[in-house]
Amino acid sequence: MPSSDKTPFSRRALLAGAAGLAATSVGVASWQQLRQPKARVLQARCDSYDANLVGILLEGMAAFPAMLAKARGGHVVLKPNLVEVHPDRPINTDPRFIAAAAAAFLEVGAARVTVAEGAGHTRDAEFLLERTGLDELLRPMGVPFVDLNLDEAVDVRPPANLTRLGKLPVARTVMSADLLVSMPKLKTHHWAGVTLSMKNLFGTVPGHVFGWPKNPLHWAGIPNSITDLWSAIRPSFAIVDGIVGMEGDGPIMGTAVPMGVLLMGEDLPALDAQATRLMKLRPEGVEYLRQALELGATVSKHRIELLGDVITPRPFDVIESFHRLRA
Amino acid sequence: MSALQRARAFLRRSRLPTGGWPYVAGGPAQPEATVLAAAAGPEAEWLDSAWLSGNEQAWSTFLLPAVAWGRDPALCAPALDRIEAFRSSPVEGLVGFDATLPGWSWVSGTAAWIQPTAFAMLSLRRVGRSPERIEQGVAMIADRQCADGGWNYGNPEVLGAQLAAHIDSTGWALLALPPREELRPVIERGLAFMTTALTMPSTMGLALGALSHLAHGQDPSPFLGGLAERVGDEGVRSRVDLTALAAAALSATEEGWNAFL
Repeated sequence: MPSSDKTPFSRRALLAGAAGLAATSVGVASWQQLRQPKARVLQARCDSYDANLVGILLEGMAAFPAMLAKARGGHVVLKPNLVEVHPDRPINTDPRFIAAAAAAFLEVGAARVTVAEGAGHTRDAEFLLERTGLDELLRPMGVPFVDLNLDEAVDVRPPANLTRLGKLPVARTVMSADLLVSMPKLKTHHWAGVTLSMKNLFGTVPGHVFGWPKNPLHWAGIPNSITDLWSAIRPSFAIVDGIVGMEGDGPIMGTAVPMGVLLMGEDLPALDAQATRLMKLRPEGVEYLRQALELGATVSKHRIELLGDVITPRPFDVIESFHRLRA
Repeated sequence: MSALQRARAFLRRSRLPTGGWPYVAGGPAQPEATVLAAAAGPEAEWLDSAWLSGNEQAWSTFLLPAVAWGRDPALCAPALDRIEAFRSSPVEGLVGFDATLPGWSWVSGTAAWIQPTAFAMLSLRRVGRSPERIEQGVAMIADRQCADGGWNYGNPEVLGAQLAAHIDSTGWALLALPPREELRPVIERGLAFMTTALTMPSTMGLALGALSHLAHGQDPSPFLGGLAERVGDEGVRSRVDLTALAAAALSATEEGWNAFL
């Protein structure tokens, strides 16, 4: 028997098989996309923190009536990303952006607005409040700041338990809000690739339980912790401060990028996926977004309806270990 | 009424009827806030032994013997046993510092960090136990000093980039380090960093600045004016922990009673 006859598949059969596999693969990919719920993300151009931020936010928020219904007459908790104070680096959600969001939620009828954060790197929240200027902006508005690091802890049980910690402590102020709004900065991150509305939830874990920084979350895996916190807390809304973002060695030591955008939406994974695309990075390569996708979240651009302004993506630099995220 | 009197009046009012102190007036009692309240003065009223004996939390009660040994040694015994038995988890492969040096952690099964290590060292030094563990803590803290002279929460750098120090970690590290000749360069650089609290003040920075300078025989007075101004009728921002730290610093300088020495 010629040796070629021993080959179990002819070339033609191999080609046919390859075509079939490709079709199956496309089918699986399409099915994976189709099973992702449709999501909406609003982008708004805004080049300066001195712009009419309240007006821009109100206009954008009007596209989300279900969120507004929760805000009206309710207690809105704004959870910005406050990390450390280095005046030359845009590390934190800008205080003017936070104050504008507080004013916007009061304007739409929130009974109470609280700004709350449990900074991972700074125990001295008084210093953080005073040096960022946030204290000066919130006081005249009568908007209180709650240090979530010192807040009473409530145990939550993430459904997938990726951290294998079983339960996670989350601040009571967060869990008792009628509307929790995650307000991250648009940044790259040296451990997670990007840090956006889902990673921002690390700050909901009280430091008095997990310490500074929240080291048990690192030991349990940062993507695991992000996904578990998101799936257990399920914030109803997020607004990303991308007016000036950070690239490179974020979340602290990176470089400013004037991106001139703010994003908002009710679906946090979809919002983070779109924000990642604006940084010309691939959300499918971000581990925590892959995990969220497995839990039924929306990441595919084909399932995300973009509202508002058309924003041209701009490549954000990432550290070498995340070069694979480059689109 | 002096700032120290205002601080103590607020602390008296914010003590919970069920025992213990909250971080923020009106909140639930918390171990660290209740331990720090014991630093507000030498009198028995500041040490809530009954509440603390039923509400032990590892890292914050690492500090308990440091502030309570003279008043209630029996209360401190379980905390001392826990301090001596505690082992942090080493981390291999990090560069720029030795993450295998043992210290104390916020949560068991994780790495050593500056503040829990400092709490444990202060307690062991106060009671005079486990000198070898104190030396391990000294080695760990000295190894973690940042390029700017202070201390970050645990590491002086990450992925090859130097981290900036924080005033609170630096203050606790300085309080924990024994005032010994061979440590003088480390301590002097740390004390110099603490003076940043004079230009970028906060209650933690000013209180720990005064206390750390006192601990190493330096003049604490530059820190005191700004600190006193921060204590109002509702303490410092209705915060028990900050008000108790302020009271500890003011008591040490005005009355000569130092909770941490």
